Amino acid sequence: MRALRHKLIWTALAASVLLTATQLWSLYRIYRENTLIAEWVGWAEQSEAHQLGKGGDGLPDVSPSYGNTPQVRLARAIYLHNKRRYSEALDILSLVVGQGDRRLQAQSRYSLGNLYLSQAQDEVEAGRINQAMPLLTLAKQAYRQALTLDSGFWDAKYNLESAMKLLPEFDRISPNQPDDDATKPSQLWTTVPGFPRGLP
Amino acid sequence: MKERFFSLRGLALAGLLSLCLAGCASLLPPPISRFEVQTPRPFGYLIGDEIHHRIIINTRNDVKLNVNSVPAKGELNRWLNLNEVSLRTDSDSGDAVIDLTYQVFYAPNEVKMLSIPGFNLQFTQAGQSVEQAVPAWPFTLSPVKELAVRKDEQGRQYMRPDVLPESLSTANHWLGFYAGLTAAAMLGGYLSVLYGLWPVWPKRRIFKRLLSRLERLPEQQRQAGLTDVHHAFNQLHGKPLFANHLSAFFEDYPQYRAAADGIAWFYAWSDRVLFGGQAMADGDWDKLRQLCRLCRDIECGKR
Repeated sequence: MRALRHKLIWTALAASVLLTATQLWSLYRIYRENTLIAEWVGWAEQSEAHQLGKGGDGLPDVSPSYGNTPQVRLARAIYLHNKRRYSEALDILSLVVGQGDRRLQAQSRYSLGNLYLSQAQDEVEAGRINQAMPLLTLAKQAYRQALTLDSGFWDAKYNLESAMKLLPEFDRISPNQPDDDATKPSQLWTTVPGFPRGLP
Repeated sequence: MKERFFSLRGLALAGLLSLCLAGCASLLPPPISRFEVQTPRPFGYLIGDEIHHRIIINTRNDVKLNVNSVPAKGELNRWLNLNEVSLRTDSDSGDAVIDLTYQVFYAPNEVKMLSIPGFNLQFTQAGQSVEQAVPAWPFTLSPVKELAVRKDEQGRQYMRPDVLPESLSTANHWLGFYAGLTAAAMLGGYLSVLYGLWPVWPKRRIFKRLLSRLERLPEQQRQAGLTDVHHAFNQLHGKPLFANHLSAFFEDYPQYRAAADGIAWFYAWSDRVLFGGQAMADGDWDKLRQLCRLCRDIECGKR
């Protein structure tokens, strides 16, 4: 009995040392990931400053290696979005969507919506309305998913409304029908492009 | 005459019976005794908001709610989703509570009245179907953004920027780290006491010191080693220990019963060597060292 107890004490000591070591390693890994997130966020903000003409370029041409956590990937996708490197940002966001907790999933879907909306705006500015329409549809879908995950996501509400103003959806076919048509949408011509340019 | 009397009597009885049945039927409670739709405020909603409805129903025990008549989760129409449906029923009391969570995706240009569509709840009662209508619920929805197009500094349509991800939390890992460290420190400290690493607990290091002394002892001074072993047992016992007191010693220190044969042999052998003049053989010396190692293991708690 004493021998068994002695072995148990040694086993518990080994387990606790192992736990300490693994937690220490995790802390170090998180520290590195957080440093990476801070760097990407910093670069994303620097990019915005550059776009506003407040600073020089100063942005890394070659992307440093990034971590595998969804938060780091999301930060990098935001940086690439701000740099208007849409396809790279989309590649990364496609990896992030669906990962992490509910809050992070809402954020990643919101970022995806922002990415599509920015692309659509670029297409509209270039006069390519037909290319903008599917992007706006995708943006609306992403914002809806973000709001389904977090109905109090104010930025998603604002941007969804912006996207819906750009590409309105009409559900009233005849004036005799009520406004809140309870029929399911048809697959044909549910959306009509319209790009308001402001009030007169 | 008599036949006519009986036919009139039969008719009177049938009429009385039908009257009784009609009276009993009116005494029965209605199939749905309580039907209440609890709704929130009908104004001030924005795109993406959730609206919770609760329907409370109380029925007779023989009336059952048809679960299929409760709306299913999913897209109800272009701008309305039913995100959650929860149904709680109590077959004993006949109570049923239906919780519905709708989400609105409509982008109005101004405050607009919309309506959540109504539906019919179906109940079954002895093979017959009873319906209860849940009315449509009108509410108003407001826009989030202004109607005029707002431009940012670069002349593009204003949109809310990306939400920057938060740093990863380390709280749980710090908790695990401190828990592991505390456990390791406590267990390590306890083992260090068992192994006699602390001079402040001399009773925990009696055989440890003895073993190190015996290992260094030259061959000519082995008799002094025997005295050291006796001294060690005396120190452990707290008073001089003799062969005839060994049984009392084992009662006080039962863990040393594992070395009982060796200790008895040592007392007999040392008596012969120290007082009988018997020469000390190499094999006996090795046996003594093995006994000391065994006692050391017992001292550490290994045995």
